[in-house]
Amino acid sequence: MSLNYQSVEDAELVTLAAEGRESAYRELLSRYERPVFSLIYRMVRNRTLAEDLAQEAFIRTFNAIDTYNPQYKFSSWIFKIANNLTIDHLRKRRVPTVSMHGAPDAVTPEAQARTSLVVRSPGESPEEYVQNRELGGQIEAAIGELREEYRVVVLLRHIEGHTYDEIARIMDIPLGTVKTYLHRARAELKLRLAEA
Amino acid sequence: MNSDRSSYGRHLDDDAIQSLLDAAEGPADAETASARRHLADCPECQGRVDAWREVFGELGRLGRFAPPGRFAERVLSGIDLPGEAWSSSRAWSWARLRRWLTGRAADAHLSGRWLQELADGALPRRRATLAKAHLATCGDCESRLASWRRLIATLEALPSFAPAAGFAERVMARWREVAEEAAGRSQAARKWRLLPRSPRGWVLAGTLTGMPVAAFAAVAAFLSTVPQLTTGSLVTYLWWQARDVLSAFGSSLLAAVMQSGAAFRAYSLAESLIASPATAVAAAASFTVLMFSSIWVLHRNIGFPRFALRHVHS
Repeated sequence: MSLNYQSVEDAELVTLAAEGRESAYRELLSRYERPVFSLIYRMVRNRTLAEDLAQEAFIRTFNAIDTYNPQYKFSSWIFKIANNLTIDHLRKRRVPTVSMHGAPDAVTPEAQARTSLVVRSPGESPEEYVQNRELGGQIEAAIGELREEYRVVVLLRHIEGHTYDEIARIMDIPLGTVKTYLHRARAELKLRLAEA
Repeated sequence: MNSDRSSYGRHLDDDAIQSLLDAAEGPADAETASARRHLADCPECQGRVDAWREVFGELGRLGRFAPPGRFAERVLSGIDLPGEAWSSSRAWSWARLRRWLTGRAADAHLSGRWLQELADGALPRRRATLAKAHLATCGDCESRLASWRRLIATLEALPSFAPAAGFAERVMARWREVAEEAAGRSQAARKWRLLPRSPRGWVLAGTLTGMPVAAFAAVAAFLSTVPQLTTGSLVTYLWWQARDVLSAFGSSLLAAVMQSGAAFRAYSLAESLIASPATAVAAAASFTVLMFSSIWVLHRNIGFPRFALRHVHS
């Protein structure tokens, strides 16, 4: 008997997947490949890296499908895995940086000019061109400048449509912290957009 | 910079010199005036004061660090300004009471936090009712709410991005590889699972296997010291002992079987099976099914890793 997986709820799909049905895995993948990839892409702002991380997130999810707790939404679970993976990657990759606007102890405009970086682009690769086209808009640029935690809450709330409680579960932080992050993130976005 | 004398009549100590330099700008008290008089006549203390003055000068020349760009805006965006007193419930209650008493309730504006939550549909019902009542009379808050709504609408209109074509296939293929690797590791681990995994385990296993060997070696060494005992006589003795034990065990077992009536029941069962071919066939079929079930269970649980079967070939 063939089963129409498209009409099956996530929780039931997970049960079928845990029984070893590959079609159930494929359906979960087709439902979440765009949301998971979009979240990671907007976090790391690099297509190739985002695909690698999204792939890893799916593999981790599928390998741990037996441990899924049906009390929570599957989407919260997979986003939690994807978010943890991305944040881990960003923290490992983080290197000491120098502000584009000059060294931190440069107080006078002359000192700032002396210590600021000048970036010269040698030309865009095709991938950079696509990335710039996709993420180069004002609002995307403003999102990209937010702190990682602020960026995640904004994306989970306004693009993925998660509730505050779900975001708290995904990020493993208290509900009050989610609200604070969202308020600050939106205030920063407003400020940046007003400046642009 | 230690001083061997502390009296101002002789030399100044480090504390006195630092106090003197700290007080250089201000009016001099009696102690400072006394120290200054001493300095006028003492080149040694004057030299030490100059050294301390250099330290003070270095400290005074330390610069200030500038905070990162837009630091002030970020701080201000995180707090509620005085005009936005309706943020926390306590502050809101006091502000409302004060304004009600002074008849200036209409002056209170909604905080950015309330407006954001209202625009996002996340403001609790009671607060939302209060906020809407205020908005009905306050054009300023209404326009601020509209700007938050525009921001949220802009965010919600952002597109989702698709990964490159073939992403799902790549994920499934990679997942199979990972599953096969895991299955291989688990099979290898199963093969070597009886071996100890730590130095402590190896010591324990060595002790357990070494003890019988050592005991046997000790007995052999002892026997070799008894001249009357030959290998032939020892083997004969052991053979007799084993025969006696086996004979006693066999007799006991036979007696127990005969007394329980099991042999009689087995004979009756065999006789009834031979008398009815249908029963015999059913019994043979049941036996076969049970045997194959047992083999299948052993095959699934011991012969092949369960993970590989479920996820790679499903």
